[in-house]
Amino acid sequence: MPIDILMPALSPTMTEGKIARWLKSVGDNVKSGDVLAEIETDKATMEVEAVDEGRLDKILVPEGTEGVKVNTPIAQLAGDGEAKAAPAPQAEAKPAVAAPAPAAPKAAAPAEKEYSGPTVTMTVREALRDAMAEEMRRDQKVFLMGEEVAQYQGAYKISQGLLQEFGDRRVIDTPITEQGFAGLAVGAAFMGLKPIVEFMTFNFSMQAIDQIINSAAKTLYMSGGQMGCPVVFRGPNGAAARVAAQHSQDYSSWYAHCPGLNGR
Amino acid sequence: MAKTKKGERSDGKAAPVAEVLKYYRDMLLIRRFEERAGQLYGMGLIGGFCHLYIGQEAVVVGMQAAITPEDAVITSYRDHGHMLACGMDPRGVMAELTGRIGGYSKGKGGSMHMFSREKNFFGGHGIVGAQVPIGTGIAFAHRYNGEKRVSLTYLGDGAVNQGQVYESFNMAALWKLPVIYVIENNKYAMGTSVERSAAGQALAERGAPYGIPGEQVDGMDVFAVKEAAERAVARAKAGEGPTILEVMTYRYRGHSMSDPAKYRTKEEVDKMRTERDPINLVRDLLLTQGKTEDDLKKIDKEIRDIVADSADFAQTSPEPPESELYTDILVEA
Repeated sequence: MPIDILMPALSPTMTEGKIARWLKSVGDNVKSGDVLAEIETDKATMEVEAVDEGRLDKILVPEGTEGVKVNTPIAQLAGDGEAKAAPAPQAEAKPAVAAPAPAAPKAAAPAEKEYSGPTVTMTVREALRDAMAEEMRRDQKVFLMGEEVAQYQGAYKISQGLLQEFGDRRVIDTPITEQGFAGLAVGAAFMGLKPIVEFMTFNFSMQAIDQIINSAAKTLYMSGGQMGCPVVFRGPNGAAARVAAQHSQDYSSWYAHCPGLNGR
Repeated sequence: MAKTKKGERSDGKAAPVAEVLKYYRDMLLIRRFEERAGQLYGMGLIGGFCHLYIGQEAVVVGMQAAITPEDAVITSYRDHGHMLACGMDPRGVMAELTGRIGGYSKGKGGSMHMFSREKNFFGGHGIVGAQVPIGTGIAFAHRYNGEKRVSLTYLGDGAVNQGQVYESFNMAALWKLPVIYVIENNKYAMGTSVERSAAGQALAERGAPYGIPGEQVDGMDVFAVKEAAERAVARAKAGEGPTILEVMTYRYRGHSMSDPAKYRTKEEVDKMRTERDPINLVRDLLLTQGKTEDDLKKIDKEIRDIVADSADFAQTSPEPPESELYTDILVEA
């Protein structure tokens, strides 16, 4: 029985990827743990290791193919005693490339004029990154801090490339210390800096909620308008697939209840 | 603790008279101001929480003597002394206590929440320990801006058991931030003594795992405080990172106005007041330096006048209009 090797999902959000490189050729013997191929996902390039053993019989999707859906067979192993080497067939039709972003729902605000200029297609992730980069280029006081925002390029790749452009003075990896760095950002904001604080997800902002509400939101009022706190706390919020209750909560209504915060 | 005779510098010499006089005035202002605040509280003119600083005056006055006006100060809710030491106007502080529009926060902050950008005083924070990461962030901003300024971040012996204090120590040490953590150890976190709340060694050692040097300082001796502060400030400004000063002090009054302080004996309080009073120490020194009782009485009168003026202002400044409920909530973009 030949064994199908399927396109793996290499992150919880991956639906398709690109076969960047095959590291085994047809006819090679494969042991479990051998690296078969490199696959590019939306976030990173990762290696795919063999689970089953046997001889690589067919490569069904050649390298360079983009948009390969998760669970598509990409190669076949011949089981023991099934050695009939066949030349590698080239893959069938190239799967469709990523669908364009869905049409945005019509904005409710009546005053807004419909935009008729040129548009670009980009992911939400890129839009968030570009918005931060624009602000950082415009204003030296803006900096980004959080867990894995710099060297790792963002746990969810929102900050991709920002360390390279702005350096480690302005793109700062923090320890895993939400209450500490949220409070630190509040202090920096009292001093007139404009921190962007990334929570890896808003679920983790619960560790820091005292600083967000008692320090960041209330101090402007309690100082009679003297001590504003121009800080942005950002991160993914709300339902997430198959990660259980601690990683799936929607905090928007919680924060929306607090005067002094502008919750979006 | 530095091995000096009380009231003397470590070089064995007494400080110049002008310097000693300044400490005397500054400490006396805090003492008389706080006594008057206590009185106004008793008259119902001040409401809410009110935490008096009486007994601890040498801490802020000594620390302040080692910094410049560009350096920043932040503390918790026992903050009146810190504000006066920073040079904030006693009128504005007292009027905030009485909740009037002439107060530093227009009457919307009260005893625990006052600020002055002009004097680099960043509050006045009511949540125990919350000022510690904020003070660390102020130091972060100093470094980000390339400025040689320090952040004096005060906390009490109760706050040292909050987790965010250690989150701050870690980041401050990691990034060598110019922050000085001043632990005002007055022996009691509200009614719980340090012995009943803090495990392990001296609080000065709480930064040791992060490589933060700590020093225990006699907080009833303004000269000892100033010298320790100078060492810490020099370290911070040289880019060597944070220092912890555990300043041993004592509050004569209860935790707040409603605290009868039954967790300690009257004898303990009396002993501190008679033997270790920080103002008497400086007063006695001035008398040996050629000042007369009359000279000191004159200063006492000047201070009483300043405090009386602040109390008058605090009672005549109007209450904020109701519309103030809806201002200063968000900044218009």
